[in-house]
Amino acid sequence: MILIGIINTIYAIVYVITSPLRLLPDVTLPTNYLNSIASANSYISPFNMIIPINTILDIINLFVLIEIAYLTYKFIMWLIRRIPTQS
Amino acid sequence: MEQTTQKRKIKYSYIIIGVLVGLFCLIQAPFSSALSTTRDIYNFSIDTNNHITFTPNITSGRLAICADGPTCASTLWYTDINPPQNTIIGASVSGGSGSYLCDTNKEGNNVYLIFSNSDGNGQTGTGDYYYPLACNSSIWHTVSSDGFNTTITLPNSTLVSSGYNYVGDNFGDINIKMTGANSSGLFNQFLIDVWKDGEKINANYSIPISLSCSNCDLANFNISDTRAILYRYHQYKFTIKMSSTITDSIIKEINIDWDYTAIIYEECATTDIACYIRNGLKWAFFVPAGSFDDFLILKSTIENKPPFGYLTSAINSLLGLNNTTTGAFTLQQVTPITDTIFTPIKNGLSWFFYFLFIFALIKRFKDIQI
Repeated sequence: MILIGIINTIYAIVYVITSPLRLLPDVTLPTNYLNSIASANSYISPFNMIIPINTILDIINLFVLIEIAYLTYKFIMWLIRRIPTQS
Repeated sequence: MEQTTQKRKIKYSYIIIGVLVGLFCLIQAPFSSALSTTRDIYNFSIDTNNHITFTPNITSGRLAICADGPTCASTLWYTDINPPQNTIIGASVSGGSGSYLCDTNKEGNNVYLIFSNSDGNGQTGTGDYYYPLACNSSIWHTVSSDGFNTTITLPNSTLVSSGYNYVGDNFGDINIKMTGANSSGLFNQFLIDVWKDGEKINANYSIPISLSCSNCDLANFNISDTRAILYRYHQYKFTIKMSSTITDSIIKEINIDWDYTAIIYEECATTDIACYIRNGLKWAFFVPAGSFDDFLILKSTIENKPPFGYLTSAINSLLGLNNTTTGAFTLQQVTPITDTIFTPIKNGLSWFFYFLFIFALIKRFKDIQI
C-alpha cells in the first residue's frame, strides 16, 4: 500500500501537469513529409539485394538511442545543478 | 369403601383421557387438511435476457424472488413487473402469467424463487415451494493461481458473460483483457460490472468500468485497463455488457483473459508474530500488476498531442523504413549470381558496418564528458 500510494501520487502530479496538453487536439506531421519518407523508402528497398538495409537502419537506431540517452543524462544533471547548494 | 373409590378414580381417568383425545382430534383436523394440501407445480425457465417465464399460468398463491434466503424474511411482496432493486427483487403474482425480470443487481447463491400457497405476507410457510436461483449461472469460472482464459459466445445485446472467481488466500490485482474474434463490426461501448459476494460493487469501489471503443476493428481490439482489487475469502464476478443494441451477426465471441498477479498471505497461528509481520510487509510493499497501466494510458494520450505528436509522427514514419517495402522499381535478379556473389558481399558489408559502428562508438565515447 505504501508503494501504491507513492505511485498514485506521482501519477496524480503528472496527470495535473499534463492537463493542458490533454485538452489539445491530436496532431501529426504534414502528409507531404510522411509521403516523402515512404517514397524514399521505396527507392532504397530494391537495393536490399546487395546492401544490408536493415543493418544500416539498426546501426542508425543504435546511434540515435545512445545520443538520446546522453542528452537525457546531460539534461538531468543540468536540472540537478539548478538546485541551490548543488554545484 | 376405599376400593370403590379407587375404581371410580380409574373410571374417571379413562373418561378424561377419552375427552382429551377427542378434543385433540377435533383441533388437529384443519392442520392435517392444510398439511395435505396439494402443491401447485410450476415450471419455469430463464432465458438469455434474464426473464423468468412460468408454465402453466399461476392461478393462485404468490410468487417472489428473495435475495435473503429461502425463508424470505422480508415482509414485502412486490407487485410491479420491474421490481425495485433491494431485498426482494421479484414480483408478486396472483393470477395471470408473464415474464419477470430477474434483477441482475441481486444474484448469487442466496437468491430463491419462492411460490407461496399458504399466505401472502412474504413469509414462507408450510406447503410453500422454493427453488435456489442464480440468474446468470450459465457461465461460471473458477480461477486458478494464474488466472484463466475463456472464450464466450455473445447471446444478445445485454448480458454477455459472467463468471465467479472464488478467491481463497489470494489477494491481488486482476486485469481483464478482451480481444474480439471477428474481423469486422462496429460497436459503441463495453461495460464491465464488478461483483463482490453477489453484490455489484461499482458504486463502492473506484474501478474503471466503462470502456469505450468507437468504431473499433475487433480483430485488433484489446482492452486491458480494467482492474479490480480482489480480497481474500470473497467471491468475485465480472459481467460484460454492451451499452447499445448489437446483433449476433456482428460479434460472435469475445475472448476474456483474466490475469492477476496474486500475493499469497500466510495463515498465521495466533502466537506467530513473525508471520503477521511478513503479511504486513506484503500488504505494505506489494505492488499489484497493472499499477503502472495508468501511466501507459496517459502516455498513449499525450504522445499524440502537440508538441509530442509531431515527434511521434516523425518516429513512426522513420520506423516504417525497412527492406520489405514494395520498391519504386525492381532490380533484375539472377539467382545463381545473387547466391554466389551478392549475398556474400551483403553479409560481408553487414560485418563491415558493425565494425565501423564499434569504432565510431569508441571514438564517440572518448569525446563524451560526464
